[in-house]
Amino acid sequence: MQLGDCLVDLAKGEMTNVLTGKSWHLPRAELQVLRLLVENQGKVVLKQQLKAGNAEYAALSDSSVARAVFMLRSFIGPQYEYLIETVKGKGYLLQDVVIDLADSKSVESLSSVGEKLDPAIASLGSVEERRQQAISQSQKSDFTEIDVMPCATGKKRPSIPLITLAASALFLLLFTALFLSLPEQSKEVTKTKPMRSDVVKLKSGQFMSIHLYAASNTNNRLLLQQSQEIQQAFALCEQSDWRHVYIALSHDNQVLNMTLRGDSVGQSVVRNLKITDSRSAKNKQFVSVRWLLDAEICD
Amino acid sequence: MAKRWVWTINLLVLGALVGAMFVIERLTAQEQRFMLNCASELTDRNELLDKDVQHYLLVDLVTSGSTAQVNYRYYSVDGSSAGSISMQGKVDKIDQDSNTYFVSVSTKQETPSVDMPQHMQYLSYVSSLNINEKGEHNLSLELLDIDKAKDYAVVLFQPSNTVCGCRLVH
Repeated sequence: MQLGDCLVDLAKGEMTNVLTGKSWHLPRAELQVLRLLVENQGKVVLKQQLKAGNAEYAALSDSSVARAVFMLRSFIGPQYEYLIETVKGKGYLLQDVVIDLADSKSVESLSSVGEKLDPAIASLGSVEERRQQAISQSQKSDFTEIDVMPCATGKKRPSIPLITLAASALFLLLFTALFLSLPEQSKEVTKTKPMRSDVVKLKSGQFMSIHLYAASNTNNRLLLQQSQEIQQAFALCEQSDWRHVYIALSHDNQVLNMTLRGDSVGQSVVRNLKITDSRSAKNKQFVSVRWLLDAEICD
Repeated sequence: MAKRWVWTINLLVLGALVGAMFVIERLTAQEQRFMLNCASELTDRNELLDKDVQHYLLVDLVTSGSTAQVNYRYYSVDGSSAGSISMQGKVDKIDQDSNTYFVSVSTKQETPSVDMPQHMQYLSYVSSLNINEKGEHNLSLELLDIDKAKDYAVVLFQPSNTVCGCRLVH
């Protein structure tokens, strides 16, 4: 028969926890108490009955009975210890949920408790099939070979495969969330180099670097032409705070971008000029030397 | 068998917890913000008016974790607003070797004005075209020259092929 997670073999005086595989050969007091409780399950068994002796054994003391009950509860575990109920001032009561796996009525009664049953047994077909299955499990002599045992306590435990599946799903979820939420780290892109770099010498002898950036190495005539204008304009400057000039023409040839970078009184300074010229290609003139000097690029 | 299952479950739960800690650590570590502020002088060469039209442009780029926001604010010479475009999207990729951020803009809001610079008109047109047709407007920002001590960077925007000197903002 089954008590919580334990299989009980009263004939052998043995109790086995099917989850831990631990077996316990019941001492005399525990066996006597358990046998009487099982025989009278669902009813209160008086202390006098529990400690009664017979021709073979002397009567048990009150403390022996209490200790036996304590030990039985300990073995079946805190989850099921309520199965052995203390009836104050009278004795003890074994809840009427102990399953006699060899008794067809007991097995048949399993179907009435519905979700209390383990799906492994509940899913079986006829009552007779369930009985045979239960008996075959109970007849495994050492009990420890039984993989999944029914729990007849009314507390449905989640099945082990379900927990495994849930934990695996959590893993998957966490790492999916990580990879979806983070920007991709790539090392495939190479750093863009200027299409061309020139050096301009100012009137004071100061040097200034000019860097041209183009999206392609083709059709950059307009960019080069504008670069020449800019270099000529800077060459007219006596001196300047600017040290580097970055020039780019937008991909549609509509905007000339000029970034001046330098240092002034120990501080980094920057100036961005964006000149839009929507005239036709042959009439475009973003900047000229005159225009640049008017824009005070030397300062 | 039962013991084996209990150990398996324990290890899986432990692994899940370690995994959760790893994910949380990575996510919080990546939450560092990157902010750029770029100020430009805009000049529209206008043949018909026979004079140039001047505006100012402020571009703010903020990335936080995988989210990105780019704000374009245009001003007239007198300081009045000449329109704005606010774009929201995500950082698709960060190339650490080339210091390049790949941003995908999915939504934008525009505040037009009667005095919109050509730069804004063009940006509005291109971004609308991309968002309406492809669902996103992609751009990349490559830090060509960076001086963290002076909070300064020269940025190359693609595919527009635009260079801009910007301040790094803490």
